[in-house]
Amino acid sequence: MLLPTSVFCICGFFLFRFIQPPIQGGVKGDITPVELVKKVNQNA
Amino acid sequence: MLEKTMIMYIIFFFFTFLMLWRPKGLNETIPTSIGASLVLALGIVPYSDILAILEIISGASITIISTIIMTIVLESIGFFKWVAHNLVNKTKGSGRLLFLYIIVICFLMTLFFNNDGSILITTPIIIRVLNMIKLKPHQKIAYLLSGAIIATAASAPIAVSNISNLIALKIVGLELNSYVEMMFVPSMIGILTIAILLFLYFKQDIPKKIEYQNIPFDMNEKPIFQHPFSQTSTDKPEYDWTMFKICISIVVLIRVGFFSLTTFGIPLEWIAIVGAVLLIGIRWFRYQKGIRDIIKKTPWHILIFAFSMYVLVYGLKNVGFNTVLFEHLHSLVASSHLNAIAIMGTLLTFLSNIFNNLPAVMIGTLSLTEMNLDIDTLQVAYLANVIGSDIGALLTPVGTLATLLWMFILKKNKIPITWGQYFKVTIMVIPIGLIISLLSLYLWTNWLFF
Repeated sequence: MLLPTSVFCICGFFLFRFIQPPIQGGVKGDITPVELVKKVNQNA
Repeated sequence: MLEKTMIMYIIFFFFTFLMLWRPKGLNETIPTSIGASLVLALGIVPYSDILAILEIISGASITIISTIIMTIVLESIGFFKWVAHNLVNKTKGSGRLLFLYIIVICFLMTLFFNNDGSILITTPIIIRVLNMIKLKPHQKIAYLLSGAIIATAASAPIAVSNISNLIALKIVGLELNSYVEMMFVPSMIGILTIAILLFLYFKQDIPKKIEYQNIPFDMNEKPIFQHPFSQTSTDKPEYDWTMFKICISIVVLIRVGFFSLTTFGIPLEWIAIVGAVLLIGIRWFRYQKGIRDIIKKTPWHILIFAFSMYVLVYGLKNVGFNTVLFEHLHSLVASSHLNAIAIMGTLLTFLSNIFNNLPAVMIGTLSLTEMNLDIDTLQVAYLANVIGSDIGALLTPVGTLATLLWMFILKKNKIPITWGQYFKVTIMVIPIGLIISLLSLYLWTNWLFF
């Protein structure tokens, strides 16, 4: 039971890392976060 | 009796051929259920066996259907589009890193969902990614073929990612946790070997630098390939990170639950159903979206498909096909664990590549149960069956339904790959991967378990 549980926890961690969005306001060209999109839409 | 045997062989091979060929996109359930009806009508499988067959296949089918429902919910909230988008942005322009990420994501998709679902989801994701970075056709094949092979082979380490493994598990009565303890390490060694060999084979085709640019995420963007789980429209224009976090946490917890809760006697399918209901409930709570799309997109026919396939295999058993295997193999399989692993792994590779791994693994497992083997030999021989039917089956496209499905998706997306091209790659990769997996299984189980 310990082996499969550890496998899924480790793999789950990697999956999270994979899907994690870039940090808000980070490097040039990063994907625009939701809040930023909303603000832009409000200003438009 | 001889007449009945001939009829059974004809029914089996004809309808299995139709299932694999799928003329004009014919659903695979139709030929198998016609074949099964004939077998039942001719009395080759008596009606009294129907309940017993249903008991064997229902749990596995419900587990797989529930997993697919979870996939449909994730698709509807834009999760997989987000993964495709994020994948390109994370490579930072490296073609080799993209190769690694594609392999990892294919592996994870099978681990957390199932192998056919993984192909249906990851192939459009990879095509989408490759179209974003404008690769040449032979470069696309390097990524697509590697992803498909890893996605299919990844159903070996844990039994819950593949319906045929689940059914066979039930037949031999092996515990889910024991399966993983004995199988995870050997099959992972095999998968790693295959991944390295694929990289070496395609090294020249994988570009060092890819034309990379950050592309804004748009959930309403028209998908490149409209796969069966995809949502045509959605009223949410942005990605919902909170929702992704909650849903993926549930998926991980349900997978962990499969292994921790079954030890308390809770049936696997119940845990899977809870997962599906939880995801549907959370989606309803957040977006007030009902279940109509889920009912429409869920492949409910899987239950009929698994049932009819099993009836066909049971028919073969009833006319003595398994006895032929028994007579020729029993003494060799029973002689030592190494022989059992080598023979069953090779046999299942051979059978899977003739008439697909789903009937092959059922035939192999049923034959094993008739050999009156001691429990240890039965278990290692069964695990070798799984390696043969999950890894060895990748030698030709006929071997697994997932590979046939993959070729169909590629054809629809105008990325042609011939059977010859496919075989040219797999003949260099799969036999070595298979031998290493089987050898690892022997060393691992003998070292720790027997």
